[in-house]
Amino acid sequence: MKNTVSRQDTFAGCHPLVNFLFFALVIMFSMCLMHPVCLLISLCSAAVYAAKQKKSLRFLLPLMTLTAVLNPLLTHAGMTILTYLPSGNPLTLESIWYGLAAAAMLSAVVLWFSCYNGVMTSDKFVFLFGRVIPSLSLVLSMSLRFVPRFQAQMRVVREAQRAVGRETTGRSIGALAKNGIKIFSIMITWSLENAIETADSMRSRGYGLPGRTAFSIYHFDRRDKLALCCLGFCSTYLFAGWAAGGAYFQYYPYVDYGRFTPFSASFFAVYLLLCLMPVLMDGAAQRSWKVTQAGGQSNA
Amino acid sequence: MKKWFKKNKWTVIVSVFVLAMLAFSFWYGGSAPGARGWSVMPRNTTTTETEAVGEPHSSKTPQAQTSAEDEVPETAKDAYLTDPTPAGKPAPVEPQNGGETGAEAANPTASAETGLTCTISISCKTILDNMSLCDPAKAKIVPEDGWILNSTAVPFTEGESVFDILQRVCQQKGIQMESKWVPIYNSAYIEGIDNLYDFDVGENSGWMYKVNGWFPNYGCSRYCVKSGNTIDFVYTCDQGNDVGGGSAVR
Repeated sequence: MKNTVSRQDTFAGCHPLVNFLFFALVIMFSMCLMHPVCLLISLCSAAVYAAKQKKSLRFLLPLMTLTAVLNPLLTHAGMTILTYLPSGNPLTLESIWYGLAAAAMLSAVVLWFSCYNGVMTSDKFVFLFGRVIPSLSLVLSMSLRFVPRFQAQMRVVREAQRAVGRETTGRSIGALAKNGIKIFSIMITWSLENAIETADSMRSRGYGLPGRTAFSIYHFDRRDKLALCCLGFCSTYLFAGWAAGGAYFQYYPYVDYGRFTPFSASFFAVYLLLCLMPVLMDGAAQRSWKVTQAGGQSNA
Repeated sequence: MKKWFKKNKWTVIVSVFVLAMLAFSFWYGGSAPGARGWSVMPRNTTTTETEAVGEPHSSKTPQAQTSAEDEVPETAKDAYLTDPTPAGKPAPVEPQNGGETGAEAANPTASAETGLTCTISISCKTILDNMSLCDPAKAKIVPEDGWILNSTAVPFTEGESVFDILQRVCQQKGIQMESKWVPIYNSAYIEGIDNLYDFDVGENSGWMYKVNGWFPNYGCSRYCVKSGNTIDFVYTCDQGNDVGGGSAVR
């Protein structure tokens, strides 16, 4: 099965507008819809998509635990008192539920953002916003690129330092600290110089001037239109359903939620469709690829 | 003009957008005229305030100043930003000094033999008049008659503060209560009782307390309870003006 090994993500190949809109909607809904079913849908879809992109999910566990434990320790609202904390404030069941919900929400949003970073590369971002907000989009893409570039350059500098005999390991702490500070100073100088160079380079190319055109390889094709329609339908339905109280869930002062009706079921179904859109698109593309492969083999 | 607009189109659009956002949040936050603010007038309750309940405090007479055994000058605030207490009213007792005896005999069973009792009540009647301002999530938990705790006699030990008694009574009766220690006032601040929190009923709402009808101008951890005292915790929706304690809030 050669064709399934390293394949480009179908959703990432869509038009940047579709990508950006999808992440904007999904992250917004994940933050706003605190209904446990919605949170579960968002978290699971984000985890599936992140796993597909080979993102590490291990860092989420301490984050979730911390959030879930901290909330009952800091919030004391709620009608169901379980016990009293040493501070004299009550520990309530509702704050535990809310802590769990907040943990799910936080990790879902973090996962969606990590997927966003994989899909929305800086060229896509500049393609979308380079015209509208030239300086801000350049600054944003530069700062988003900063951390990985900084790490890569740091590795280079460290190797160079080792090559000239300034070992970074196996020496006294004072010497290590001195060397670390030296490397850090080199890095700061490099990053400042690099930022100025980038800015100068972009200016010399006439970036942000009116009438400037830019080459792009993005085409808005039929598939993108379809995806955009799907996004439009889902978001309209979810906004309307949200306004109509389809995802009503109250944590404080007592847990209260709307009844489970066909309407709320359809709300969750549409939310699931929205969140799973990249995964579904990928699955469909993979299946059509397999079908063509099989057809080709039988024909040959 | 046209050229200028073309050049600065986005600056104009963004600044208009930001202004619109600020105006919306100003209106939504309830600061717009009509909703709450800009018509802040002291209600006439201030006249019927504390005089109706007990000793009239003709506060700043020199004779009264000597009776209050505080040696701080009249106009000066103490270390915890508290104005001098009116004549005839107990001065604040720091919980670090006064609470010592209370801490060692914290169990209320031991205090039964001392025979010291006080009365405590918790009321949120003012919310019933301000239901339109009430947080919809909290509207259902407001008691119908406004009483969270009817007048109850409780035994206590010498040196206990109003806060100690409130906390113990709430724990005994299973009433939810959240407090926060505020170092600059050297007292606990009652954030919420029975899930009714400050700012739940408009931005001027919160909990206040009075002892024998007087709203102390210091925190409830600094009020050392005497036998026979009547402690009332009341919820205000208007900076204390609707419960007769406007002078304690400034």
